[in-house]
Amino acid sequence: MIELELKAAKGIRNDVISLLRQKPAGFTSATAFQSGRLGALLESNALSNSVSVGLSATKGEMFCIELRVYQKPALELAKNLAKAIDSQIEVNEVDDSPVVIRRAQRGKMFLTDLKLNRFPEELRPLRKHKRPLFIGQGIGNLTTGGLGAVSVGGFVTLDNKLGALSVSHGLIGLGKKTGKIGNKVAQPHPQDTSFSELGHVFGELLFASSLQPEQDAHCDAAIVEVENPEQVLGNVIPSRKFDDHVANCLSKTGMPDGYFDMPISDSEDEDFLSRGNVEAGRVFKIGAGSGWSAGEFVGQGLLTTLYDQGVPYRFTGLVEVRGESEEKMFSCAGDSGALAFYQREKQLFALGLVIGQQSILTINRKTGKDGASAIYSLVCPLNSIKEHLAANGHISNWHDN
Amino acid sequence: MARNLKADSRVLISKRKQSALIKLARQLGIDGITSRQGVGGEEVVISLSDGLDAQQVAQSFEQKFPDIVFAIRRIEKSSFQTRSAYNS
Repeated sequence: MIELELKAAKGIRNDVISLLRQKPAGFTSATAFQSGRLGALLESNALSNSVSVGLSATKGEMFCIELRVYQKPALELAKNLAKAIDSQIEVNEVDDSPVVIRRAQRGKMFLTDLKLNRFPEELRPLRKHKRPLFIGQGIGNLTTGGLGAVSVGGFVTLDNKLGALSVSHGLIGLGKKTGKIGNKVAQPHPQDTSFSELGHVFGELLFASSLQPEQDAHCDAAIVEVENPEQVLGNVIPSRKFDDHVANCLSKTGMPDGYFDMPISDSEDEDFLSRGNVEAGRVFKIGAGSGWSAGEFVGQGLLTTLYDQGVPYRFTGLVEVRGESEEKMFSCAGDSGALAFYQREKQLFALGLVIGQQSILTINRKTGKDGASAIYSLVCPLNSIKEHLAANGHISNWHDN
Repeated sequence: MARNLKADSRVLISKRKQSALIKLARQLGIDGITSRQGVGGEEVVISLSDGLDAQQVAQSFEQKFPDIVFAIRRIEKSSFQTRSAYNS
């Protein structure tokens, strides 16, 4: 662990980013995440677990850089990194045993030992070194910038193709569309990386529902055809063993241990919207914006209006879900597309995709004055999505785990 | 244990009445209509658009649908939830 001042930390982060721009040998799909207000978390293929370099904020103006190397090719990066930051980090050992990078003190930088740990051997040979794709991951349209990052909400087969399910408004856009069918979709989205070329393209946009101002819609969904089906972990809660942004996010946001690896089944018939069919009205969600969260089923909208830059988009049939408290919202930015689901007798069932949020004030009928405030997340039911796909001639099925 | 309210908590408003509610909402420029389970059973929540008077809107609905219990709320803010930049 190295502690250093803000200015030095910024310099090192730029060096790290510069190195990754060169796509070091041995890194098939290295990606970079911003982490915290300054940091950079760099990962290679998450299944081969080659390397992870993190630079993240600590208290005050101090920052830490942590370098973890799991395979020999990564050691070359470590050496290059040391060189790039003006030899302030010296690589002493580059062989099998846990490697220690010694540090030097220079100026106002206070450096301590860096330990490079080999990753456990048994976890390395996985799924042809493809980056895993699972529910809750951040994705985005790589071809068309500016649409923002959304979440993977599940996996479906569509016309016998395997697809990742998310939202239309984030993958093809609202109103005057900016994206197109066939656009490349990457995970993570470039918005979540420092530079787009390291985003891992996993497929092409296959379908997106149309969302037009002033026109009723009952479906906000898009499907990305997955190029390599072996990437897909299926409709299960991602396991903790994947050292990935979402898995970390889930563990940090308080998901109970018992939910890891649990499968999520297809939604039931329309009765699931009857509150009595949802255990104590509880609904859960996994998304790239806020990880795991729990909420309460409130009701179903006959008509709901969401505004984007002052332009109204109207929906029918959206489900309203309230967070556990004002501090614990059910969803936030980046959670569009996230799968909302519920539990019934130890089984999890899909409810739908988070698409947006409303903050509301109740009004006292007697006095006409404003009352309590609340924030509701809006969920497009999976059944509405299926109906919309069928109406457009597409046969879809929830991916069988 | 799961509450079994299925017998008495299903959405009771008929499709026909739902359509009529939506139609009136459009005429009045309402932003939203939601069906939910209240204390006394199913109720309909009206989400007001900016500039509309709560009492007037409520009266309009109650006159046309005297058998439905209405609640009123005002939408302060709404948004789709894409992330335009990392949430740091």
